[in-house]
Amino acid sequence: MYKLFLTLRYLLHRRITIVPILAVMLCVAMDLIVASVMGGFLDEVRSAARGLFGDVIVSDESLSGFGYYDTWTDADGKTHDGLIQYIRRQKEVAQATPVIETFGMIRLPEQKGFSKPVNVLGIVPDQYAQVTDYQKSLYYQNSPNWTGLPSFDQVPDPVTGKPVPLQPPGATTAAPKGLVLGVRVLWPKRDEKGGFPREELRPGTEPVQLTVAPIRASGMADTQGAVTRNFYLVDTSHTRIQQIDQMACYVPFRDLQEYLEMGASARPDKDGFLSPARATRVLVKTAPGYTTDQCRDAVARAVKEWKRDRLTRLFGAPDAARQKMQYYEPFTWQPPDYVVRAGDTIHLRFPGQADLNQDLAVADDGSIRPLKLDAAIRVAGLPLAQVRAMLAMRYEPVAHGGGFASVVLNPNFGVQAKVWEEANEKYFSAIENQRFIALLMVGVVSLTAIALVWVIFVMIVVEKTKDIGIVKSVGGSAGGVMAIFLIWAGLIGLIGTVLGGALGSLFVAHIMGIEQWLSHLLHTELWDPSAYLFETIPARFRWNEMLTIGGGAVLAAMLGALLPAFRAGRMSPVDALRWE
Amino acid sequence: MLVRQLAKTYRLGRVDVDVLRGVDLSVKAGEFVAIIGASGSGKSTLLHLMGLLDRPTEGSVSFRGQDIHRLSARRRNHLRNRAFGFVFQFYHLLPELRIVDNVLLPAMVSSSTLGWFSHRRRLRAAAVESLTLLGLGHRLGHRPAELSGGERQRVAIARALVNSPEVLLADEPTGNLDATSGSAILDVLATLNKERGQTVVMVTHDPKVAAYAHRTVELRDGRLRAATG
Ligand SMILES: Nc1ncnc2c1ncn2[C@@H]1O[C@H](COP(=O)(O)OP(=O)(O)OP(=O)(O)O)[C@@H](O)[C@H]1O
Ligand SMILES: [Mg+2]
Repeated sequence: MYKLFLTLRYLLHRRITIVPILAVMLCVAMDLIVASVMGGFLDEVRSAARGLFGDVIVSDESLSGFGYYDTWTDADGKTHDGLIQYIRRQKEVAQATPVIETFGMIRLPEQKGFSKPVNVLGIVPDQYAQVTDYQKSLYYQNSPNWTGLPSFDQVPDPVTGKPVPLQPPGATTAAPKGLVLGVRVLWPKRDEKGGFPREELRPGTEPVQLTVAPIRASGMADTQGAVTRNFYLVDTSHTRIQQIDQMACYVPFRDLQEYLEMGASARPDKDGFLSPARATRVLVKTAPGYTTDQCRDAVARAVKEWKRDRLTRLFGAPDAARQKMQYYEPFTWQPPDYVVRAGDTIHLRFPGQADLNQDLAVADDGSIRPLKLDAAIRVAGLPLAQVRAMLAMRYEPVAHGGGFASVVLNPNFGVQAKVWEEANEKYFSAIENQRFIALLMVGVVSLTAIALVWVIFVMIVVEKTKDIGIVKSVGGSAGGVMAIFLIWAGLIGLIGTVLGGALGSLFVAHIMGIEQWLSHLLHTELWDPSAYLFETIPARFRWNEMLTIGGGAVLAAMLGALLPAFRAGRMSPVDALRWE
Repeated sequence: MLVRQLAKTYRLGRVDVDVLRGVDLSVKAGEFVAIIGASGSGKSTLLHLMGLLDRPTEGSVSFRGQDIHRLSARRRNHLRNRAFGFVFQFYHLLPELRIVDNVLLPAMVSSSTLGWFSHRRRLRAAAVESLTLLGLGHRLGHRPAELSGGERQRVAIARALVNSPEVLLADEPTGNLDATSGSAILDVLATLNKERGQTVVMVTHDPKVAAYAHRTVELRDGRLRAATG
């Protein structure tokens, strides 16, 4: 009881207590501001990224892309479903759209006069707008007068603003093509009014030359096959993410696919093989009422089903065609010398005996357990050809005629569904790391507060030596005396936290105002948007961060006081009383 | 209370200073004993050892048949709090606390937070009563710095008595006071002894002060003997 009582008396009557309180306050405020700004930054990147990429991203992470993403026609003229159809069948999915991503160069109209590298996205604009925030980033095609979804071959009527067909003055082609550029591709810096002169640009009049080079199915860029085409600028896109606004170039999906030679071949080659059309990504929007994770799982199921169906077709194909097909397949087909590993899947297909078909996962102990056979077989570490021979021997009694086919799929390769966060994991974890480092640095600075608490408590304990002797002479225990100083320090941490929390959250709430005021005062622009991702300083307050920081501050203050408090507890009563 | 062959040696650098060299003393319940001796003879040291404020080099202090210096830290704290009341030559009050809270300190030390809140009124009333008896009823809310030496010593006595200790140990309670306030303090001790049967062990260098006690012993050359003269 006396511990709390004495602590409160001391806290109220010793002026020196103010010093560590102020130190804790400043550290807490600083920690909170850094956590809030870094956290706000991360949140903004996340929400912007989500708006840009859609909820779920399906890709094989290559620039050459994958086949059978959309309906396709076989050599007999029969049409089959592609990945998008499998995905759209899921009730958790609202929309799915293919995207081709590549790099290219643009030449802007003569008065702008220079070439620029761009990140080229082939999109189906109406679908793309249903999956991402694309339309929100546009200027003309997002105005109230624009009825309907974005389009590459429509421009606003100069009077009504309603969509009318794109007809550039003096254009010779029958069907002129439209293109959309990020605002900062055109205007790298903001004007004096802090904006971009987007209204000055007359949509559908400015010609832009785009050059892209095809990426072969093998993954190599083919510069010989590079094509240059004329487009007309129909709108600009402003996502507020610097990196995207200065690199983005949106063009019609089919056209880009054609330039990159990613379209379907018109007729079968001599082996009877028809190469399929390719895309680099399929973006998916979650249906209302479902979470992104539910959607991702549904898409993953669809991808699995689609892969299984593809696999079945693959085994039916002649060997020569199969060799070519593997470039376009959603999985990687391993050669006979491939060494089997745990985690691989061995697919067995028995022509004419579908009941024997099975997919065997290689277990962690390196074994597989074939259906209809008695024992597990160890396969990890063996070349695929040898595993095949072992299986052939065992299956002879049950499989009659025709033998069987096998293929190993490495599950870490091929087309995969990821939520937008996972797909951009590297980027996010980089920012997360930056945030951690910033917090760590602030934490190190906060160590000085611990040192200060320590020094002050060394002083306080010396000054209070006689009091310690008195308390001990009336029966106070070592732990009790120690507690007095620890509670004292804890209260210092607590009061500092409350004050610092108030200061920090006020700062966070008015961060832009403070920035403007400082900029005005110093006659420089402190926050240069071109140097950062965003145009305003992102900051937000989180209670859990506040509580963590506060808890840390209280613990840190107590830590600082620990040694002096321990010393105080161990003093002998006479020595303490004798002390002058 | 039985002190047997008590020795205390201080080590100052390489020199050992034998302050007490085998002190024997027995104090019966209800007795008022005075210890006299020259300055530096080790009177305070002896009292501190009897009140568990210091540890002896050799010998023992028995209280209710137990060697108190061999008890656990917990038991020793308990005895300091309950069995012994200490009055120091230099008062030793906590400057940040009001008079009444200074008096209540030992009671606070021995109560849990819950116990404190349930007994607070009773304990406070008792503290106020004993302060009033000592003539300080009107100064409860003052701080020690606002009091005279005699008043402070009376506060210290009230504090020493608040947990009704079996033995009151007073180290030169009048050492810093003038004759009038000194004799007032001594009257208080004598009254306590007579009316409540309070056991008192008092240290002084002044034979006139020692005269208030039933029995006087003298500390000389680190040993006790019956007082001469
Ligand atoms: N902690 C200590 N370290 C070293 N010497 C000490 C210590 N405490 C006391 N002494 C010495 O022990 C001797 C006895 O001291 P003590 O305070 O017991 O004397 P005293 O009889 O109470 O004297 P006074 O009448 O002046 O109060 C003194 O010589 C003192 O210097
Ligand atoms: Mg003394």
